Amino acid sequence: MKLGAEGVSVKYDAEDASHALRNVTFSIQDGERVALLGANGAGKSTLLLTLVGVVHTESGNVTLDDTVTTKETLSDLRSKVGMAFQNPDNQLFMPSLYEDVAFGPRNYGLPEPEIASRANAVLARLGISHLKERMTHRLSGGEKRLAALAGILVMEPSVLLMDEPTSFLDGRSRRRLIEILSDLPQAMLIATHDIDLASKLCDRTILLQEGQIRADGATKTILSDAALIEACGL
Amino acid sequence: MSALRGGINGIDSLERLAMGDSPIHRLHPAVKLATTIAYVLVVLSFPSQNVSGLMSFIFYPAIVMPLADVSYRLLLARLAAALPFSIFGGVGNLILLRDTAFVAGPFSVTVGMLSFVSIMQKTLLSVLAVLILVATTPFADITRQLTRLGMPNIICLQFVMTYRYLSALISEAYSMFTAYKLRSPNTRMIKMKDMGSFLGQLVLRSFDRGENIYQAMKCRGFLGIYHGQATAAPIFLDVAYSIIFLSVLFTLRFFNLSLFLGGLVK
Amino acid sequence: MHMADALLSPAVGGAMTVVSVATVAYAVKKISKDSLDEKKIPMMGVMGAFVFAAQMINFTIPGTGSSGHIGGGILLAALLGPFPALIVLASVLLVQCLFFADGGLLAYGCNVFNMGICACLLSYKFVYQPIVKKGLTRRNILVASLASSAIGLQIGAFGVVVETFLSGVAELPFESFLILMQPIHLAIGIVEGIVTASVLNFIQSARPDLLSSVAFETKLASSLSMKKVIAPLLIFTALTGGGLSIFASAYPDGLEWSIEGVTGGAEIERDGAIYKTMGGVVERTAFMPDYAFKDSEGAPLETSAAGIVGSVITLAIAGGAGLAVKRLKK
Repeated sequence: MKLGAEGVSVKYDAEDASHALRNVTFSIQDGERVALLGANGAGKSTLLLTLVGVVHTESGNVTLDDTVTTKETLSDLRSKVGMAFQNPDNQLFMPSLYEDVAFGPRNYGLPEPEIASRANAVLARLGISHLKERMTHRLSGGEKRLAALAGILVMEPSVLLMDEPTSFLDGRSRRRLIEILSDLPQAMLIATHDIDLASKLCDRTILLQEGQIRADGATKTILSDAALIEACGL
Repeated sequence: MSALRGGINGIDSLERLAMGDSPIHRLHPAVKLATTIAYVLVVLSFPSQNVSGLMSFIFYPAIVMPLADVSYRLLLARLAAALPFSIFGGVGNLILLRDTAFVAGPFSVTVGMLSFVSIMQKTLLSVLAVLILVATTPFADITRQLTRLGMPNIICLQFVMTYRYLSALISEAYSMFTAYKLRSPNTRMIKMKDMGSFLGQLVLRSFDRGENIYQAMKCRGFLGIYHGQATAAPIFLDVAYSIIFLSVLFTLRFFNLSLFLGGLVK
Repeated sequence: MHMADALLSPAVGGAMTVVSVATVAYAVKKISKDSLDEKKIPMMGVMGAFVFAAQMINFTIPGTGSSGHIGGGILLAALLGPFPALIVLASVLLVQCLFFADGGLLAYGCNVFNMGICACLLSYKFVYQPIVKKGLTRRNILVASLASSAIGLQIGAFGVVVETFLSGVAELPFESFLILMQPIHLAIGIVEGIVTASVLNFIQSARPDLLSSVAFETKLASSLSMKKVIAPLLIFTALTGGGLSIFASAYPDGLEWSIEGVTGGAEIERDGAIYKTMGGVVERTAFMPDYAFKDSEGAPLETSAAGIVGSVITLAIAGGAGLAVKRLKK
């Protein structure tokens, strides 16, 4: 599975001259973990949302295995590419954890026994089986993060897109999340300010600045370039 | 702004209760919904002064509340919400209906007193019935039952999401209020002239949140239809409970137990 | 303005539930047919929670020393459009009824009508929208909010009075009740209008797209569809109003109904039948002499004594049963 962007440009306001994203091209290979670094407003979240077709491109394409995605293939794309939002609260919209995890599979019409076995497996893997019947708004910050992740993993996606996965987390929850993520087989694109997370988890880094790719290469090389990091506001 | 905090606490304690386990909790939610509605209807169908007839209906909360571990402490806040309207409407009866209904020793009891007391009884009993329902049935189960009764999908989703984001929005409002108070000494409440920007900010935040939630839903294949969890069918015990409950209910509607007992004593 | 159950008769509560459920069902049909963009669904959910929180925020009303909170009907309609707003308010009212006893279970239909339909559909459509259609200026928003909030609350308060009166449980004369309710709700309406206007003006300056997309929306609130909603409501109101004036002319001496009055008549007759049947049973069992409190002149002392003693015994047995259950559970 290969997810890519080909010359993607995005504008939020048609009259506004500035672009949220400009001519962004890159691709992620199977199992590759990529950090997406950039200052506030550099376009990280926009890029993630564009890749799952929530934000529409002005020009350019999102490709899945070198096939251009269209409106018709959108639901296929979304079943293969899972997206975790910055604020897990906005992602957990069902009353109980189990129902929230089952939300995606139900939308895709999977049979209930299959949903149950998948959900149980995912919850066990993330170590939150005991919270299964808990109301989602009663989960702690760290638990919410894992719960949101469970709702995505249950779809068995090939690629995970994550927006600031370590925000709102304390030290222990953060370490636990990094452990879990490093054990997952999926390819990942992680938008973050957390340079430590990037260096621990990702071999490759893409650096965004004002909607454009400023650098794309080995994490070690990019993070050691102090001038570049400074220039990008990190 | 104790209302905000009280709101969260109120929901919290009901929620915790509803997740509990007791014979009443284990009843099918459809049964609880139907019996609650029947109970309220029958209580309200009593004519205005039938104090002794209404008295028998106290059996339901008296037995079920301890059975389901619902404390009477919760009742107070709810009565505070329901009583003002009842008192406001009922006080006219006290004043206007001055005919003597009967004389009990040195006191002459007026028709107005009786009807006022019966209004208070109705208030108490109907509030108790709904309290028992929500304290033993999770909100999601109630919504599910309403959906099975033909409530449209969009409303169901509306209930689920309103309920889900209640505490989030209330805490958001609460922290905004705290921030407001910290910077405006000597004020207990928000000034009316500041309400525009205060609520306006809350509206904008809610809209942003709504937008984010929508995106998250889209990413997980949401196409406008909510697929709720299927519910189990009622079992024998549920049916038995309903039959017994309804027969006792209707018997007590037509048979005045208090008068019967009073007659026995004589 | 939340009505509790105790002053309602099952007939009025049931009828209003039918009216409200039908209107909400129509709103659902309307927004589904007009292909409400799915985006509005989570928006409506969050706005429901918003209204809930907003109603808990008290503010000081200058010059009165008292405090108030907003109801939010017009605000919601201005932000989401009338039909989605009605659905949101209906769900808020259900949660309030269940979790806070704010409004009774049987009174739910009445409350949806008085607070939802009156503000979101009637007042919004006929007062708010025509004014802001001329342009979303600060002044127009203020005038529209003030007028629509005040009028919406007046209709709502009138609804409370009519529903209570028709139920025949409260004895407060129609006119006195009206005189108590309407002026209070005029004051509340003005405060609500001012706050609604300042919120809307704030939003208009921060996110002008939000209000204009709703105010000038013709798809959702086409006049044809509104006619279908308004017509049954008008007929319903006309029938009630007509009925009331007949009562008023039949009893010119100032609406002082007693419990035997016309309002409760039907109910009491029904109860009469019940008592007759029961009376037969009673006579046969001979435990209970003919009993009727409403026969106020000559209620025999024995019956009353039996009633009081019996009530106390019932209460004691119920309490004992409760304690026994508690003990058994442990």
